Amino acid sequence: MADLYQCLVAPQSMHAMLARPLGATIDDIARARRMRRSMDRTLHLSSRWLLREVLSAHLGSKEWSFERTPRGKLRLAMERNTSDIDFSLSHTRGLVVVGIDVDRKIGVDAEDPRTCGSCEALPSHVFAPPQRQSLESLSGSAHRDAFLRFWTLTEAVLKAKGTGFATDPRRIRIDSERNMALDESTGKSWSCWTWTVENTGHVLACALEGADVSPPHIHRVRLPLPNAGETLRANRTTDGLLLD
Amino acid sequence: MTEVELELKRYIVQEVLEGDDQGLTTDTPLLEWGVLNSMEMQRLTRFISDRISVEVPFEEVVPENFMTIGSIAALVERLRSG
Repeated sequence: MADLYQCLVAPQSMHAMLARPLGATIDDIARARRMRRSMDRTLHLSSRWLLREVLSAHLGSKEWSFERTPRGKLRLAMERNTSDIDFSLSHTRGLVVVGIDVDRKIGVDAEDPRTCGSCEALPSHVFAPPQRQSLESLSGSAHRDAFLRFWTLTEAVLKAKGTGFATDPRRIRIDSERNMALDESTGKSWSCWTWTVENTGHVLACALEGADVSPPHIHRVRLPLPNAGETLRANRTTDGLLLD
Repeated sequence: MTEVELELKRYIVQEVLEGDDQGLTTDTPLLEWGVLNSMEMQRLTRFISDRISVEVPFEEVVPENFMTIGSIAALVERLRSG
């Protein structure tokens, strides 16, 4: 059984997270410092915090360290990677998501519809012909909603495979009605789902290896950050190195 | 900057950074700085196809080819000459 954890990151959380990054390692902070925008730093630090919390909840509390595969997929550093557990991480403006499964490959993706630009600017060329045809018959918000469902589902499958867009995404055929995707490059089937987050409109998707798999259990998590007054006090005591 | 690099910079500043130059150079680490994500990378390949007339195959849409404006321009030149 897979689990999917979603955590909203409100703009007012930004200063608190950057002033006192929750459980961040030196590497996390170094990477955050290389990012130009405060929101990107906040999302990076929030996603690493959520990932460590999720791993500790499933595997017991440890000091988790990570590395990337040559194709960019985040995984546990080799000395820790003693189980078949797989996880996937995604963040977009205002939301971080972690998916985890103990014996299947898993991929997750999240997008904020407000950051997608105009319908004309959406990169629909990445989709399989049935998805492109389906989009051509739509316009306005219906077009954008369908695009985001196809995009997040396709990217979730590519992330679960661990190849990213190095796999030709046009070979991923989505069957939304059956919650299935067929990877024509391997003949493998994937189970996949999308959701829209209530109140914020974020679209998120999860893909799991194999056909007819049960959907993940969704958990909503809150960032344990101080309230607004405490945030101001925290800001006065920080060196502010992560703030713009 | 070469003509291709300038074209890429103009696109990134206008379409991704909403006009905020942020001191972009050919060596700015676009992925590390959080400037490009997977959707922006795909938009950029469409721009390269439409404006520079070079098709970027999906197998080339990998982080090492999109790390900087310089590496994207090198990819474009390689595909052009190949």
